[in-house]
Amino acid sequence: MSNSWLTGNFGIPMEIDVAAIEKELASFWKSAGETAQKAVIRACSCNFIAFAQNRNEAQGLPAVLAQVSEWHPSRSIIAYVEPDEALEPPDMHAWISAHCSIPLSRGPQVCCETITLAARTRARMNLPDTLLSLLVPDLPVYLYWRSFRTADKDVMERLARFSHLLIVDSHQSREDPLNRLHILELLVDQPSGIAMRDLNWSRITAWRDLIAQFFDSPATSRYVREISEVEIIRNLSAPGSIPTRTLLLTGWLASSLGWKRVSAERSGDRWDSCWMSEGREIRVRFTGTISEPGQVPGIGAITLRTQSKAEFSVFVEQGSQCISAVAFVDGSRVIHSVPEEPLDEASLLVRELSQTGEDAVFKAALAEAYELEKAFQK
Amino acid sequence: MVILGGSGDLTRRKLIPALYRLSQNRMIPAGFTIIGMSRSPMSDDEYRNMLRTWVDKDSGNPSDPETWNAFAQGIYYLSADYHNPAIYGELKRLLQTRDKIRRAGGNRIYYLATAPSDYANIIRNLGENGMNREFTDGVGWIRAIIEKPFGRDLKSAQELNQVVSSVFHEGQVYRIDHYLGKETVQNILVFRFANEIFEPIWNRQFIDHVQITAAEDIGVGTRGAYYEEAGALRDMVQNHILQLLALVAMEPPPDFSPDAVRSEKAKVLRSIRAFTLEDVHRFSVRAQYGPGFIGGKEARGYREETGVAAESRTETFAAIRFSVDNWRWADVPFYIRTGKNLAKRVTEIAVVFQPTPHFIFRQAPATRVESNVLAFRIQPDEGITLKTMVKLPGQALEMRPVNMDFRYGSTFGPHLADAYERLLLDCMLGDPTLFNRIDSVESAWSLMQPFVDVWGADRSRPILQYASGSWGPAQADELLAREKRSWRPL
Repeated sequence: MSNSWLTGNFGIPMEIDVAAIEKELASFWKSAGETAQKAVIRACSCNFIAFAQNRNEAQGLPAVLAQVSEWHPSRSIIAYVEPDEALEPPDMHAWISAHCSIPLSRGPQVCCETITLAARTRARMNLPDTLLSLLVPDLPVYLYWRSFRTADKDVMERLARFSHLLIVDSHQSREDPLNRLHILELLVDQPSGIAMRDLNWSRITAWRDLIAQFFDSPATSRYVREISEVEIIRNLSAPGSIPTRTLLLTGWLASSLGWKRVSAERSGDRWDSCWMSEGREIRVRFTGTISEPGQVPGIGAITLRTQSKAEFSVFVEQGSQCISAVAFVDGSRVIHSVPEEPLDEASLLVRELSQTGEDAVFKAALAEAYELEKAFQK
Repeated sequence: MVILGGSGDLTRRKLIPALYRLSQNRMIPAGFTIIGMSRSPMSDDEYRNMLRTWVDKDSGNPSDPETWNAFAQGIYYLSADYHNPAIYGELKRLLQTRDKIRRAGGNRIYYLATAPSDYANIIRNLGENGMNREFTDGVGWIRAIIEKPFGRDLKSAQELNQVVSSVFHEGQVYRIDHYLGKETVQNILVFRFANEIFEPIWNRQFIDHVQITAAEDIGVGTRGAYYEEAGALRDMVQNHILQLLALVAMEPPPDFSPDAVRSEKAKVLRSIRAFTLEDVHRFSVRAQYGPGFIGGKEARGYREETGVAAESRTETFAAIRFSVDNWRWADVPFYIRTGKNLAKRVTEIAVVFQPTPHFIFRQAPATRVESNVLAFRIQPDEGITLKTMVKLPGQALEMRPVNMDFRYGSTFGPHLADAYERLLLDCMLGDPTLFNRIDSVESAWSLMQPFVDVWGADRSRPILQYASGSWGPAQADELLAREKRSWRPL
């Protein structure tokens, strides 16, 4: 899908009166029809609200939302709060812009609109009602809160009343362990009526897929009940960093396979835990080394070993664009390599929006990961 | 056409712009004459200049001088106190002279755009001066258009009907409800009765419930004093909303003749289950807007509005659950809500269909499956939307609701005739299909009377408040939630 911008100032945000947003959008699209060289379709299959912490963060969002809207045509609304002194009266400002793309089928341009709302701090609690009035009727409402802070919980709870899905990114709070923990608490104890997701979960999708595929075949499925050791090697951004994705991956294994935690111990960047399943002991170890230049921090490799000496590994080789899965079973070695999925923000959001209901697997994995993290802190 | 209330708000905003557009579109004949009547002293020319300002403001452009001058030639003004019986003789003479000068043909429309409290007096005076008598002394047909509210309650509506009936026969009376002149409202009938696929499923076997929303994102503005006497019940529910409900629920008429359509509508109103005083508490919610935030600006509460009492108990929001007791609609609730200073301006009728009887996609437990909804958008962006579930592209079986949209503006061009254009023309042509008949008005008041009684007398509890810019009080949500339903997100 390639991007194409309509002629005129469609990509450039135009400031307008908040009360006149719908009217301005109507004339905006009318003029699009008149000035565009090609036919234009104004599309919208959902409302997508992105909440930013401040103007700086908001400035990066239109490009992300434009990419998302190519897959999920939406009315995008970016909202952020500024200190009273940083924003001229009135209390709320609005801008509108549009983004167009040409679908693979080479039909008319598909265009989506973006509304940006900036509120002074004093009007912060009025944002939910204003957003409510801007939603396209009767379409799902997805809320993305990239840098969610627990201080935003009151606004979030009001927005959650009319939203179907809240996506946060616990990775954004990696430097703020307390906030990160609060986000996990929120995800575990979700407000009723809204599904919640964490982009960090989406970042380990490829790992989960490849691990699960080891045991898909009838020839290897029995090994899943023989796993006795799991080793996860992390590439650390800094010593002592919290392994959120690693915990989630472990939580997923434990919740999917019915493991019960027995113990958890941490020594520096080595995290050891012991689990039991059907009378069998499973030892899980995370180790980490500081990532080298060019190496992306995160999970570098995972190896699952069984009582019968079978071994299943998934890893990213340095300098490679692939993620590989290798199975050693009964003396034979089978390799499966797939391209690494793009893990940029827009790609992750596109994926999350493609399954919008509750993700029971995520919830179970998260609950296990959260308890495991608490156990490590004891 | 005599406009009583010739310098009032309705004349300024609606009647004159509509008549001018009809003139521009060659829909009214050359001799068409307007006599504006109101208390303010003014010459004909001053009146014409005032009307031109209104027309220019309405269109956003200066009117074309030639077209305007042709239209303005037929405009006259009579400064008058409606309570002075002598003025009607003067009006009669003025009509006779203008008939001769302009060869107007002697047909008359009296448009009552005054305060409702003046209606009875005006009608009596018209009768006493013989201004109701058709086809005598060079006079042609005579019709009277009466604006809502038609009465304040059942008793006053019946009393007014008695006065009207003593002067005019029913065929002369055009009780106007401008909602019925809107394209989308008329389209409900076309959609229902000109398409084969909908009528078979338009019943209790397929429809779960119906929601009617008439929301405004503005407060009472300068109409505080009027609204204090009316409230949402009299301003919206008794007339507009019950008419919309009747159009959705009515049986197919044998033809599109005025009496056939109006008889079917009247039948629906008679089929709505009457409310006991206890039912009023159980099946309705009323509330008043408090301060809040709309369109990026702070909005004041109703009690802070000009002309509104500090302790006012007038409702600016009403939500009611109606039951229509007939074979087609038994057990299908009709939920209505209307209010001022709500989150957005939108009027729509949503027909919500039953959920699928058996859900086969068990491998997709994460999916929310939503019922099909057919929504008639009355304003703004007039059109029809059908919500269906579709599969999201991809390997997994994920579903999402999508809307199939028809918008008048994008299909037939941006200009839709204003409701008043349509209704004024219908009156001139003698077609009362889209006007309310005496029995419908009284049936509607009969239904609303328990609310008038209970809400008017209930001083024991404080009236609920809702924040301006919200969708009303939480109790309105509970009205549906206790039946495991919810308002459509609009």
